[in-house]
Amino acid sequence: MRHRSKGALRIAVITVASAVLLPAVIEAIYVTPTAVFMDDRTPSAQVTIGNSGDAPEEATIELRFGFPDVDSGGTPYIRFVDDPGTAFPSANDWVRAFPQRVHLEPRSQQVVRLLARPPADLPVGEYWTRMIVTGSGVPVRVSGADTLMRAGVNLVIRLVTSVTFRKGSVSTGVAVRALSAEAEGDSLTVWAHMDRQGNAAYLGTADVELLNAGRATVRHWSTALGVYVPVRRRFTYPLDSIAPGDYLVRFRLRAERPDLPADRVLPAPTVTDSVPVRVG
Amino acid sequence: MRGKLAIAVLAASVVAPALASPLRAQVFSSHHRPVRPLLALAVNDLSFGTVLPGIPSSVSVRDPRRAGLFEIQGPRNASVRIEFVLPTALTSEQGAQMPISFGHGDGFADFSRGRPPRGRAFDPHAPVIESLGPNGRLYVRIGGTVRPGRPQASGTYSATIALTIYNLGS
Repeated sequence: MRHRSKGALRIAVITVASAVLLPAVIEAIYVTPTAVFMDDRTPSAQVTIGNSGDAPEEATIELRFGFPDVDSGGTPYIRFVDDPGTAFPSANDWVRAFPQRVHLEPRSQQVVRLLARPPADLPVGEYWTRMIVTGSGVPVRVSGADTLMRAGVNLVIRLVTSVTFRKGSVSTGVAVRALSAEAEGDSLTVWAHMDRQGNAAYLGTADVELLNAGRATVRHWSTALGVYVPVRRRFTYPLDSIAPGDYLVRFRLRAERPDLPADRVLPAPTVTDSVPVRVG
Repeated sequence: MRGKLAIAVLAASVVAPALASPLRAQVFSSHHRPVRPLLALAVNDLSFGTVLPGIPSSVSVRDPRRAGLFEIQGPRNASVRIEFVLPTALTSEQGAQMPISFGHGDGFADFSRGRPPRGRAFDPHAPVIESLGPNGRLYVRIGGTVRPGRPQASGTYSATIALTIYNLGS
């Protein structure tokens, strides 16, 4: 009995101490799922937006047409197009989010409903938009004595995730060409030109392996990616503690994404290419 | 005895909701593995405290108390692009302004929250492309410098940094 009593007290002390030591969270917004899929049979979806912070939040929900692209330096970004017209497969004109503003008490969440109303004559294919969730931020808290001037910066968070609508039969694939690799300083840079195939975005994983002269893997990196349009992308990884010498970079794209529902990841053949690289 | 148990339960209930809320909202892949939400936490404001007229004041990105700190959580190995929109001046309630600047090394991204201090410095004016890593977490810190004028009106000066996180994987 006495032991149990001491145990309970120990739990209390440790737990209270943890509560005190946890940093106060100024703002915390989350969105799930991180990729929304709808189709002509299920033209609606639910997204949960939550506040795991310590203060109430106002969050706005906005839809804007955009897709992953790559700039001239090979760096990926979300390319937003304000007036996509018919040149791009935009779902922005006919997907709506309800509500578009939510009030979130600390440690609460709210469901936002997405509803697609595509035109009846919409061609078979895949259509995209992006959901942008913006937290309102909270007033700045500046510590310091009550003297002449105090200065501080508060922080506002915005999360951008994908919304996809599929109509009819869609397929995808990817082709890799012009693979190159360079080791410079403590970084390995791999360039790959990736052409999307089919009528839907390629969602997969890029595996980059560094193989030594005996073809044993000495480093392995994985990056989730989406190929929506033809891109020449740069991948950069740290080369810390890799011995100088000749290596082989093996680059593989596989249509597997553990973070997405498997029935939403379109099947595609695995593509592999390799290129030599000298380190040091 | 009953009182001590009650303390333990009460203390646990204080801590648990903050840790559990995003997990309640998570969805499951068809492999029945939980998929983490994309979560962004602003843990620390960037705070310069009290500053003096005519004397620049800097907050190092490595200052654990005063540097701005974001924590980003999401699926393991998720690819994200992080962009800051940075102010050029802080403004007081009376409308007076105080310049603020951010140097090339005023951003820092790592997976381990500095324990041990691994990661890389970056220019917060430029985007950061990172994977969330095997633990699905990324910490981003930001420092900066304010330059009060001489004279400079007294008061509390503030501005807003906007952080945008793009999920590049889909």
